[in-house]
Amino acid sequence: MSDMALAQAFVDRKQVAFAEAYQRYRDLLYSVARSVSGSAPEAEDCVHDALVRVWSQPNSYRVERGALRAFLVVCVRNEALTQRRNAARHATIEAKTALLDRFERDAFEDVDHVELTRLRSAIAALPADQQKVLELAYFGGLSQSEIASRLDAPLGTIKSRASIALRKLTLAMNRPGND
Amino acid sequence: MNHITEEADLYALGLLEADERAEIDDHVSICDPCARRLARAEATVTTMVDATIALESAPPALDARIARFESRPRSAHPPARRFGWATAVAAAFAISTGILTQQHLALVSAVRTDGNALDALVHSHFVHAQFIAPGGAPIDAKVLYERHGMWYEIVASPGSTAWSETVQRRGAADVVMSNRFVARGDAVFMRFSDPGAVTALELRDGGGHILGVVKPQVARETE
Repeated sequence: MSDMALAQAFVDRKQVAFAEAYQRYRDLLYSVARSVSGSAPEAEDCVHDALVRVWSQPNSYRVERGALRAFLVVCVRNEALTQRRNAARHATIEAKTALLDRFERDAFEDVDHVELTRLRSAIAALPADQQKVLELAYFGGLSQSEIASRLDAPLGTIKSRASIALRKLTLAMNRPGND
Repeated sequence: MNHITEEADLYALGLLEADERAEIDDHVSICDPCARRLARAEATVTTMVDATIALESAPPALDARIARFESRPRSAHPPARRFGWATAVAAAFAISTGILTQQHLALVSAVRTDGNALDALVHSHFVHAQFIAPGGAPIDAKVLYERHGMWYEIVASPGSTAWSETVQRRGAADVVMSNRFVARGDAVFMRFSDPGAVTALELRDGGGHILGVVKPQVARETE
């Protein structure tokens, strides 16, 4: 089944589409949750809960929303971030995610280095204040208010910097020959 | 809700809270330009994911949970007395109303972590009602509500695993739901600016089937 056919079957809520989407993206979704969550069981909960929620709400995905893969990745990542922040409200947890730790130590030995190099050069081209917000948001998984507090900047400024940074990244990553 | 601009980027980057995302989900389900804007932002974040996250195999336990969800009965209602909030099932909460819109509704967080919610509970006259399954039997969940319908708090038995509390408008059917997920043992607290707007509260399972219903008996006179 092509990605487009799978997306349409998912929109049509064919049971086979749910099963196929899980089989196709299970490792990716679990890895995304694992990069945010503190433990394997929490990551497992995040993937399960996000998929159940998406499938239980008939209008949650439609083709205008883009690739099903990207939609599910962001759903699971947001679920993991929410659960991590909820946990942080009740107890002190490790402030740094594994991803931020890897980013700071430049320890991405097990990923696609061509893509990583493209991403690094796109991030490096951003102004320093946008870079920092993007790093804390994506690699650190911090909330808007946490970033504002960390950088001692107004919340509105953080929102603007994050938004502009992601748009610039979109342009840079889609530009041919960016390596 | 107006068209989204920078909110799409914040959503994709994971910077928004669950209730803020729910509003956007609601909007992009009916707005093509905003759905496409969000899709672009999500594609970029997924590119970042592809470049920075090494794949790990999903554990067999997750496969088993997903398989249980896939194989759940899709037409039969769960037996009311055996309502155990099984681990494979996320239940959903919906509010049926004649006039309620997202703007009338302010979701506050779980009552135990929200001072305003606790304050409302302490200073209000409230009543409570058990959720009743379609077959007529009570289930292990209850709603406390201010007698004029200004707020509602959903609580479930300590044995409950998890449920997704949802408030979303369904076309013209005037059912408003959100998609915030509630952790084990939490309660859900909702505040309304429109007293009496809620005509029924429903708990639904992951397949959308009604597990229990409460029709609040709201006082009409002012205190």
